Amino acid sequence: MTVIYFLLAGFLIGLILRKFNKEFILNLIFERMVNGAIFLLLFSLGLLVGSNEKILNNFSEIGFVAILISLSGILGSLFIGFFINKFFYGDENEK
Amino acid sequence: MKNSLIILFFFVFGIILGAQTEIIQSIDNVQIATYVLYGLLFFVGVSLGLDPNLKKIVEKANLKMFLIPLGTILGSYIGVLLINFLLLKMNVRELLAVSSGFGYYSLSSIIITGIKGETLGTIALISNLSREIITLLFAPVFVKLFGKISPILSGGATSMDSTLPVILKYSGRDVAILSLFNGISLTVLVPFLVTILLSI
Repeated sequence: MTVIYFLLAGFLIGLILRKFNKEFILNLIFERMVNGAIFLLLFSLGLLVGSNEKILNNFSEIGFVAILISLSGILGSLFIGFFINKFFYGDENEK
Repeated sequence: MKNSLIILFFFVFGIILGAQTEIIQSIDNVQIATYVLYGLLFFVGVSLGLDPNLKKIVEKANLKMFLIPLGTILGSYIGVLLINFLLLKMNVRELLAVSSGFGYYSLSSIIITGIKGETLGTIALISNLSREIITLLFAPVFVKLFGKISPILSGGATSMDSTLPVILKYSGRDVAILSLFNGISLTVLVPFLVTILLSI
């Protein structure tokens, strides 16, 4: 939950920065920094998986089951998400 | 799509490097991922604070948003029960416990290892980690096929941190409150749901 403090700190700084040239700062930060950080995040997740012997050694046995569980859970959520989107947030999508 | 391919490349590159280099194995990879996440969320915070439509973002906080974590739980359970009936034939309580991590792989795998042992704990680790990675990779596809709320449900507990930037990028920054609310609610629920499912 510590992450939320970083989000809040950024948010407050963002509010202060609003007084300056918004568009420029917004595009610079969101497009560049966030993109770069997502790549870095996936790289570090890769490191985590690659160096975790528990995952690597057992993947052939239980990897299939584990991924089937996550895929089916995701698909089920997506279908419910589709209906929530359509019936409760639908009017906002048409704008 | 191009972005997802680059993301996939970085992920695979990380796996290869992590598996082969002894020097890298000595570094605490969990810590690296955590610091990257802190930096990422800081920038997301700044961009939210700067957003010209800040009012529109805040207005999204209403009772409707409770539907999203409820939908995530319900949808995940329906999905895994269906695949279990057709293919897996696992113990239902263990199956539901694994899927109740909703992407929160560190905590759910620790709790499940403690109660049910290493094998189910590792299934929970891989399953929930892949939920996060699949959401990061396919968020743009999910938005196109299932609408802009859908990647929030797919991300589950991670929709408040690691998958938040990708969700905001493809669904728009006005879903920020919904995504944070979903992630926080599920993160709080994970330890309770997992423990209750395994100890009834």
